[in-house]
Amino acid sequence: MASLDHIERVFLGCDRPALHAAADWLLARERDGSLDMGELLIAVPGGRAKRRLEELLAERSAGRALIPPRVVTIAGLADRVLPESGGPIASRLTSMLAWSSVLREAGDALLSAVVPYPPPRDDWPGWWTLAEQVMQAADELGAHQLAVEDVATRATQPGDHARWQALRGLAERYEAMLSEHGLTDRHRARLDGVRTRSCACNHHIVLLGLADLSPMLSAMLKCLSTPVDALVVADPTDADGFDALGGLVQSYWQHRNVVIDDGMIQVCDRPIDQAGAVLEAVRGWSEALPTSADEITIGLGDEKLASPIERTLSLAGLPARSAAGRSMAGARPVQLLRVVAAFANGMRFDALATLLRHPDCEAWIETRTGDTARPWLTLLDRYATDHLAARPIAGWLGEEAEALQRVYQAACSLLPDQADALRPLQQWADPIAQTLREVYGGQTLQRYAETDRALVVPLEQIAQALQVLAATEPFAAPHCTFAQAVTLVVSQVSGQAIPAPGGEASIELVGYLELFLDDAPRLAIAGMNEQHVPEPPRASALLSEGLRRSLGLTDDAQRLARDGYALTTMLAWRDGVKLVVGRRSADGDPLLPSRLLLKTDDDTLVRRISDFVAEQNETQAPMLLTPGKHDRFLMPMPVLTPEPIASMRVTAFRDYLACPYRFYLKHVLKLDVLDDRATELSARRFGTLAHDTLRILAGDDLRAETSPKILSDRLGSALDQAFAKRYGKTPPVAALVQVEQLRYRLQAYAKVHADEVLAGWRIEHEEKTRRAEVLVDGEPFTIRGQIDRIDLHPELGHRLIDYKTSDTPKQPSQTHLKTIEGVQHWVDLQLPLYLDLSRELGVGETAQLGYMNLPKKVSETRLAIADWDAGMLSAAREQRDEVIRQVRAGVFWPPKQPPAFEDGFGGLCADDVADRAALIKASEGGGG
Amino acid sequence: MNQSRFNPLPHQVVRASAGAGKTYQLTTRYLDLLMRQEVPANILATTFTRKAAGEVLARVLGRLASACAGGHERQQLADALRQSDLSRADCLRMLRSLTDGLNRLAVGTIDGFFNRAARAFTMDLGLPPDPRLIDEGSPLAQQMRSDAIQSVLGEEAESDGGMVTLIEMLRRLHHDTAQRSVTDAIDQVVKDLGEVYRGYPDPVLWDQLPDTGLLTKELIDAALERLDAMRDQLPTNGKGQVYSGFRDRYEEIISDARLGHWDSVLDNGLVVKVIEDAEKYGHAPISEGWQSAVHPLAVHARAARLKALADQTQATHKLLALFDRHYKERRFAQRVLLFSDLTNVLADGLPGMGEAGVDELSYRLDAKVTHLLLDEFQDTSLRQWAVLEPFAQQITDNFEDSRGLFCVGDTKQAIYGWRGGCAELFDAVGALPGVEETTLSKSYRSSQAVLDAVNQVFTSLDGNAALKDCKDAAENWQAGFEHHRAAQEQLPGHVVLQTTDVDTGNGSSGMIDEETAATPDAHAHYVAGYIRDLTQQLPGQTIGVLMRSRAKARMLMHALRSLGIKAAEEGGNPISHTPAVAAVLAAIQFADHPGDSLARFHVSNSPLGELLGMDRAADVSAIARGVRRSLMDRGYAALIADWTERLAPSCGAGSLRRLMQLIELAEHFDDGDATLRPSFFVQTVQAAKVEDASPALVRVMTIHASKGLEFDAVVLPDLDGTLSGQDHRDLVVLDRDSPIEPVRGVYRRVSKELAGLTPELKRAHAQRAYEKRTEDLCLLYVAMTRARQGLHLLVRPLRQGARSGKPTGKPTGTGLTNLSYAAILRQALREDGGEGFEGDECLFESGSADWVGADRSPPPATQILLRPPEPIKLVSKPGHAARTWVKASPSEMHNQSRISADELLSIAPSGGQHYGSVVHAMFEQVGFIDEGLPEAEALRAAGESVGRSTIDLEETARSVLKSLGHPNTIALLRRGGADTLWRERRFMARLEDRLITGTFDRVHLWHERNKTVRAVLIDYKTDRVDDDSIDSAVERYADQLRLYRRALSTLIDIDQAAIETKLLFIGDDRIASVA
Ligand code: SF4
Repeated sequence: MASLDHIERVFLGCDRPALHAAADWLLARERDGSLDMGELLIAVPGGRAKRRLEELLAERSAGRALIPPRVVTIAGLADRVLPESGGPIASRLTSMLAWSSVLREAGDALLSAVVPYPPPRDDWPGWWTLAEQVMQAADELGAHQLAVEDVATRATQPGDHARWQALRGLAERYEAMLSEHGLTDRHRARLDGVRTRSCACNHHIVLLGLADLSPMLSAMLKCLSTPVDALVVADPTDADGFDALGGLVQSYWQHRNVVIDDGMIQVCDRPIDQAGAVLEAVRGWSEALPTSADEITIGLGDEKLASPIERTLSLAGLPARSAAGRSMAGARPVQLLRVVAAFANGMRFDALATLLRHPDCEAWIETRTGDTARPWLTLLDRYATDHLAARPIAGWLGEEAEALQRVYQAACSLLPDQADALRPLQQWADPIAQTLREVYGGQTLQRYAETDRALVVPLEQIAQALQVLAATEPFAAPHCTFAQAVTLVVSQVSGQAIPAPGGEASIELVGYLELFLDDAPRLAIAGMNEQHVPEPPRASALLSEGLRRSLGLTDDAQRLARDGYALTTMLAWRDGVKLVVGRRSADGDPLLPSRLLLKTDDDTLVRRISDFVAEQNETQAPMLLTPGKHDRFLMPMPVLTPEPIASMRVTAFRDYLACPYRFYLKHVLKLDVLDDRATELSARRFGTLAHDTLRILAGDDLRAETSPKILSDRLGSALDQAFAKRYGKTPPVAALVQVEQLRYRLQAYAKVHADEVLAGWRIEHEEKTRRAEVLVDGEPFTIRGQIDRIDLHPELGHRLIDYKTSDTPKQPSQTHLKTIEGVQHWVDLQLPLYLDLSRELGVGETAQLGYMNLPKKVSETRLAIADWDAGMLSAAREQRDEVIRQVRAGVFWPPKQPPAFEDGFGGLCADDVADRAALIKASEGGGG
Repeated sequence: MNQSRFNPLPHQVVRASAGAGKTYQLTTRYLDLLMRQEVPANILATTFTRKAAGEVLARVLGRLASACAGGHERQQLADALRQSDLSRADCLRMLRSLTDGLNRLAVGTIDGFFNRAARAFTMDLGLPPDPRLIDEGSPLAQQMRSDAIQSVLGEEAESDGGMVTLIEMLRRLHHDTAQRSVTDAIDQVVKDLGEVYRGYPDPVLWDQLPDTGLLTKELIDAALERLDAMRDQLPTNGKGQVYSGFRDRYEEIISDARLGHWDSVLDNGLVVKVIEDAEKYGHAPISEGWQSAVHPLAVHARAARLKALADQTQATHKLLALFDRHYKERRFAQRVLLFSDLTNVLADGLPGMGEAGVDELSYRLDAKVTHLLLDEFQDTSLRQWAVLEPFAQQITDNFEDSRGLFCVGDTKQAIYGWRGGCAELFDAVGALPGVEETTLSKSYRSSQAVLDAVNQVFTSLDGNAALKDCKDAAENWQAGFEHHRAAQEQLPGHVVLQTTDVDTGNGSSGMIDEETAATPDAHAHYVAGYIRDLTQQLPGQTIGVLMRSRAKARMLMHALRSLGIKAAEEGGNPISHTPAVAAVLAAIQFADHPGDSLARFHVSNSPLGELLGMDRAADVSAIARGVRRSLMDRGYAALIADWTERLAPSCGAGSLRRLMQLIELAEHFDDGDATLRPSFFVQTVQAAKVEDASPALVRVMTIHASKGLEFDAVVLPDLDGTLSGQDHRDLVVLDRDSPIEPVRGVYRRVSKELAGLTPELKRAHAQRAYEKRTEDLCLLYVAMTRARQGLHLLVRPLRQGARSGKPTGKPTGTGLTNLSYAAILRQALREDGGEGFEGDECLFESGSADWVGADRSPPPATQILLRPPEPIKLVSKPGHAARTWVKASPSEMHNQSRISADELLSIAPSGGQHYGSVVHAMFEQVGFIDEGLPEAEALRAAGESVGRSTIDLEETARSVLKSLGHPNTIALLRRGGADTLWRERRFMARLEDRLITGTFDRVHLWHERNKTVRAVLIDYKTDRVDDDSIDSAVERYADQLRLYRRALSTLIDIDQAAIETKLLFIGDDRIASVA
C-alpha cells in the first residue's frame, strides 16, 4: 500500500457556500501576502465552479491582482497528472481515427463479432461513429482501471464474450498502431503509470468537492509524491464519511435520510407548470426580501426544462440565462458547414435550396453575384414549381436559366476543387477554413456584442478544431471526401456551447451536476424526478447493464448515496429552496419523483407519495402577459380598386361563386402560394402538358387523320417534345412515369379521336385566348378565356370542348350545377361562357358544350356533352350578369363557407377558426 | 405476513368488459406481487399509451400510500389481495420495495419496453446509435418516405428495362389505370401495406396464385376458329328462332377474344354459365358441343385474369420490398427510428434466438422478467406478441419459480385490427398451460339504462336480421358476450334511438363523398341542433360525439360551429386554427419562401407585419432573411416568445394562450428538428393538436379515438351507411385460417365476383370479411359503452329524398335489413311498428331524459387567469454583477475587442500569431542575459513545445540568438541588481467589472527587507518598427501595458510609479518606455 502522507483532508464545513470557504482557505494559505498561487492545481467538479472560484479569488483578494492557480475540471485532472515515461499520449482525435481504421480493416470475421452490420467501407462518418462508441466504452472502463482485455477475460455471457474477445484483438492492433508511431493510448498510459507508480505532477494539487473520484483517478493521485489537499464539503464530524482523498464512503451515507421540509417540494404536471412553479418561487423570495437576480440559481434536474423555464422567466420580465450557454450545433457557421457538406454530397437541388436559405450564405451570394435586387429564393422556388427540380442539378431551363446558373456556380465556388476526391483528412482543414473565409471573410466582429458572439465563438472553435485536424498524424488520417471531413469537424464542435457573455445580473439556469458548488443563496431545482436525479448510467451498445454489473461499473447505491449527500449539503446553508417535481415529460411520459425525496422516514414517505399521486385539476400555466382589449388578428378587409373591375376569366366565375373573398385574394390581389416541394407534375401541370400535346391535332396535317396508330404516334412524339421543353432531359423519375401515364391515356384517346374524325367532326379552332364583351346594365364587361377546342360537323354544327385530365371523368352538370334544397344552382359558368367567347367565330347558341375526358381508366375515355336546354343556359347567363354586377361593385365580402379541400388560403380565410362568424363580424369593424 | 402463507398466483387472463376496471385488476395483481416480495424490476407491466402507464403507476403508488395511512383503504386493499388483514408495516414494506426500486420499475408503454430492449441490441440488430424515435405520421417521416420513393423510382429507372417495369408495376398497382399522381399514390400503398410486408416479406407468399392454363396463341386461334364455325349451330327455340341473347353473347365472346379483352370474356354471361357447367343460358340450352367449344376460351380468360392478379400482387410485393429498403436506409442514416421499427427489429431478431434470446435480453437489461402484466391485450399485434411470447413461454413453462403471466383486456373492444391488433391472441394465451380465465362484466362506468341497451343489442346478434349475411361472425361475437351489470345500480340513465330529419339533398346513402365532406347536410344540421339542445339539458356534462371517420367529424365540427357551439376534437384542436398563430406561421412560411405572396400578404396585414416592419414595404427579402437568422441564432421558441411578448396587446386572451402553446411546441421542435427548413416547422405545427386551456364539454372524435375515454352522454350520429366488406386500407388479403394461424398466401384484393376464381382467393376474402364484421361489432360496442348516463343513437329516417329533390312517398325498406349499425340497432331496439320511416321519430327510449336532476348543479368552470399577477421585482445591486463576469484578456480591455473574421479563421501554422508564440516561448528561456545565453537546442525545443508548425525553428532560434546580441536588448535584460526574475507569469485581477487574465512576459524585481521596492515590466513584441512607426506602435500597446502595470502594482504591492514599463521590439533592438 502506498504511503498517503502527501494527502491531506480539509473539512470546509456546511454552514456557508463551499466555494467561499475554499476561496478563503486558499487566500489564507498565502501567509506571506504574495498572492502567488501559481504552483497550485485545483480540480473542481465542473466548468462553472472553475469560473466562479476564479471570480471569488479575484473578488476576495481585496482588489489586488494575483498569480492565479491552475483550475481544472475533474475531467481535465487526469490529463494533468501524467506518467513520466512512456512517450507522448495520442490525442483523442488521433485515437479515434486510429480506432476507426483498425475497425475498418478488421476483416469480416473479427468485425462481425463486434458489429454484425458494419458501415459501408467508404462511409467514414459511419466508422467514426463506431470508433466513438468503442472509445466511450474504453473511457468508462479506463476510469475503473479496466482495459479491453480485462473485459474479454471477465465477460462470460456468450454474446459479450465473443464481442470482447474480438475487441481485444482489435485493441491490440490499435495500440500497436499507436506505438509504431511513438504514441501511447491515454488509458494504457494511466494504467501503466499506476502499476509502475510512476505518476508525477509538478503542481500542488487541491481537490475541491470531488466526492466521487473515479477509481483510476484515485489511484493516480495516491501514487503521487507531491502534496494533495482534499477540500471536503462537510463538517469534520462527518470525517468518517470520506476516504483519504475526500471520496464518499457509501456505507456511511447510504442510510442517511435527506432532510427536506415538505414546504420545499412542489409537484406539478407538465414542464410548463414546473416553469410556473419556479417563477412563483422567485416571486416568493422577491417578496420576502430584496433579492437580486444573481442571488438566484435555478437547477435543472432535466436539462430539457431549461427552455421553458428560461422563457417563462424572461416573459415575466426577469433576466435569465442558461449557464451552459447555447449549443454550438445550432450556430450559424456550424449550420453553414452542415449545409455545405449536404450540397457537396451530390449537388442536389434541395441541398442548394437549403444552402441559399442560410442567411449568411444568402447575403454572401448577393455580394458575390453583385446582384442584391434579385429574389434568388423566389426564383429557385418558381423553378422548382415550374420545371421540377432535377436532382442532382444538370443544367437550368427557362427564362431565368442564366441567372440561376450564376447563383449555382457561386454556390459551387464555396466548395473546393474536386470536393469528391479522396484526400488525407488533414489536407481538408484549409479548404474548410477557406469555405468559411469565403462567406465570413472581411467582416470585423465585436467579441462582446450579442449578435457577433453568435459568430465569434463558433468561428474560434471551428478554427481550433481545424487546427487539430490539420495536425492529424498522417498515419491516422483517413482518405476521405470534403463532405466527410466537414462532418467530422461539425461533430467535433457540436458538443460545445456558446456561453452567455455574462456581466449582467441574471438568474442562472444550471445543470444538476454543477449545482453542488453553486453559491447563490436562493435555489430552485426543477425536474426532481427519477431518471434525472440521480442521473442513471447511460446504457451503451457495448456496455449493457448486465455487463456493467458484472464488471462493477454500475453502482446505483453509490450514486444515490452521493446525490443524497450532495443535496443535503446544498440545502444545509440555504434558506430559500424549492424542489419542483413533474408528473409528465414534454412527450407525455409519466414521471416519478426522485428517490432523493423519498429518502426519509415512513410518515413523510407516505405523505409525499400521496401528494404525488393526488388527483389534481390540471394546473393552469401562469398567464405571463397581458392580452389586449381586442384581438387585432382579423381578416384583412377587401380594399376597393380605384377602377371597377371590367374583365374576368371564364374560370374565375366559379371562384367568385364559391367565395367572393377568396376570389378577391386570388384574382384581384393575385395572391398565390409558392414553395419548392413539387416532386412531380401537379394536376394543373399534368393538364397543361396534355393540352400542349393535344394542340397538334388541330394542325393541317392531322386534322383529317383517322388512323389511331398515326395519331397515337404523333401525340406521343408531341408529348415528348412538350415535356422536354419544360422539364429538360433529366427530370425527376416520378415525372417520367407521369409522362408514360399520360401517353397511355393519349393512346386511348387517339382511338376515340379517330372515331370522331370518322364520324365527320373536324377541329376548327385550337386553344387560344379569346375575349368577348358582354353588356351588363348597359356597361361593357370583358370575358376572357381559352376554349380548348372548337369542333365543327357538317350536319351537327359546332361543339365547344374542354379537355379534362383528372383521374376520374367529369360530367359538365356535375361540376357546373349544385342542388341545394332541391333547387339547382350554377356554381361554375365555364362552358356556358364559351358560348360568349365563341360568338364572333359564328358559333351559335345551339353548339354542344362538353368535356373530353382523358381519365386514368382509359376505357372511360370519352366525350361528355352537357344536356342543358335554352332555359338553363339563360339561367347561367343571369348568374353571369349577377357575378359581373357584384364584381364591378367591388362586393368581395363576406367570405362564404370554406372549400372542402385545403387550397392554401385556409389560414388567411380563417377556415377552421372556431368562431369564424364572429371573426368575420369583428373584421368588418376593425379591419382595414 | 410471511411469504409462506401465499399460494402461488395462477397465470391469469382477465376478460374485462367496458368499464369493468382493467387498470384496477392490473394494479391489484401488481400489488399482490409486491406483497409476495417480488422485485419490482422483474415485474414487466406494459400498456399501450403513456397515459395508461401513468395511471397504472399512480394507482399502484396511491393505493399503497392510502393503505399505509390505514382505515378503510387498508381494508380494501386487504380484501383485494384476499388477506384477512394487512398491517401498516406490511404496507410500508411494499411501498418501500417499490420506492427503493423506483429507478428500475418496468411499468410503461410497450413501445418503451421495446425501445429499451432494442437499444440493448443496437449493434446486434444494426440499429443506428442514439436514434430519435418518431411517428409514422410526423412530417419528418413523411418527408423521408417521399425521398425514399424518389430513390425507389430512381433505382428502378436506372436498371435495365427498369422504366418499363416501373410503369407496368404502377399501372398494376392501380388496377391497370394510368393514375396521375405517382409519389402520393405509392405513398398511400406503402403506408397501408408497409406493416403487412414487414410481417410477411417472403416473396413466395405473394406468389401463390395457380397458373390455371393460359392457352398459346395457336390454341386460342384454333378455339376461336372452332367457335366461329358454330354460328349456324346457335340454339333455337320451339319456333326455330335463334335465342337472341345467346347469339349476342356468342358474338361478344368472339369479338372480345379477338381483341384480347379477356376481362370482358370472363364477365360474359354465357361464359359464366359454361364455367359453372350450367345446362342453360336463360332459356337456351347449352349443348355439350357448345360447352366444349366455349370452355377453352373461358379457361383462358380465367387464367388471364388470375395472371393479371398474380402480376399485380407481385408488383406490389416488389414495390414494397424496394421501398422498405430505401426507407430504412434513410431512417438509419439520419439516426431516426419509427416506433414500429422497434417492434419489427425485435420480432425479426429475438424469437430466432429462442430462450437464449430471453436470457440474453434479461442479462443486458440486468432484469429478469419473472412477471409479465399486459394491459389491453386485445390490441397486441402479432409482431409485438412475437417479441413477448418467448417471455410468456418461459414464464408458463417454468413451474418451480414464482413466475406469472397476467393479461387483461377485452376482445369486444378489439378495434385496432388495422393497426395490427390481434384479439385472437387472447384465446391463444388462454390456452397456455396453467392459465386461468376470468370474465368481469360489472361496469363501474355506465348506468343500467345504458347497459340494458348494450345487453339488448349484443345478446340478440344471432337473430338480428341486419346481420343475416354474416351469421358466423355475429354468433361468435355474441358467444363472447356476458350480460353487463351496473355497479352503481341507482345511477340514472337515458337511452334513445331516433331518426333525424328527412334529407332533401342528394339522396345521401350515408357513404361519405370526400369532395363534399366539409359541407354539412341536413343530417349534420339536425345532429348539430340536437347536440345544442343536449348541452342545454345537460349543463356541465361532458358530451362525446363519436363518428366513424375523421372527414365526418370535420363536417360535424363545421355544423356545430355554425350554431356557435364550442366543440373540440380529440386531443384538442390544431393551434394553427387560431388567427394569431396562423399569422405567426405565415411569417415563418414567408421567411422560407419570400416569394409566397399569400403568406406575405397574410403577415403584412396582421399586427405581426407591423412588428416586422413589413407594412413599411421595406426590402421583404431582407426581412425574411432576418427572420431566418434569428431562428438560427436564437431558436424558434425564443423568437416566437419575443414576438408573442410584443404582440400581446394585439391579442385577445384566447389568442395569447394559443401563442404560448405555440412556444411550447417550438421548444419541442428546437430540441429535435430545428436544423430543417422553416416551412418544416409550419408543417409540424399544422399537424399538431393541442388541448385548449378551457376544454370544451362537447368533444367530437372518431370512435377509434374514443377508446379508453368516457362521457356523461354519448351521441352516435353516424350509424347509417353500409358496413363495407373490407376496410379501404385492405389493398391485400391474407389467406389464413385465423389471424394467429400461419399465412398461406397474400393476394391483392379483388371484387367479390373475382374472389370466386380460386378457393384460396375465396377463403382469403371470406376470412377478411369475417374479421371485418367482428371488428365492426366491436366498434359499435366501444361506441355505446363510452356513455356513463346518456346514450343518443341518431339514425337517418328510412324515407329519403330522391335526387330530384322531392321526397318520394315510398320508403325504402332496405334500411331495416342492410348491413349497417342503424339497421342493427333498429332490429335490436325498436318497438313494433317503429320502423322510423319519418324524420324526428323516436324508435326506442328508456330511462329518463332529465337524469341530471335539479340537485346536480354544473361543476364550476375551470378558472382561467386572464391577467398576469403583479410583476416580480428584483433589486439590482449597484456596481457589478455578483457572478459570471465578463472574462477578458488585457488586449481585449481597451476597445480591441474587435476582431476580424479572417484572423479568427487563419489556421495556417505559419501565421503571425503562431510565430509570435514561438518567439515568446524561446524568450522564456532567457534568464538574466549577463549570466549566460540559452543553447540553440533549448530554444528549438521550446519552439517545438508550442505545437506543430511550418516555422523553421532552427532559423527562428538563430534569429532569437542574434537579437540577444543587440546592445539595447542586452542592456534591458541584464540583472542590474535585480534579485528576482519572472518569466511568462500569469496573473488574474478584477478590473472594471471584468475578470482579466493575462501573462507578464518578463518582470525584474528588487526587494528590500521582504518588500518589493522596484520592478521592471517587459513586454516582447515581434512587430517590426522604425523611427517613423515606433510611436504609433507604442501608442497601440500603451493602454494594455498600463493595465499590466496596474495589475503588477497590486500584485507585488508597490506604487505604479516604481514600475518601469518597457516594450522590447525584438527584431529591431528598440526599446520604448510607457509613461
Ligand atoms: S505523477 Fe502520476 S498522478 Fe501525477 S501527473 Fe504523473 S502520472 Fe499523474
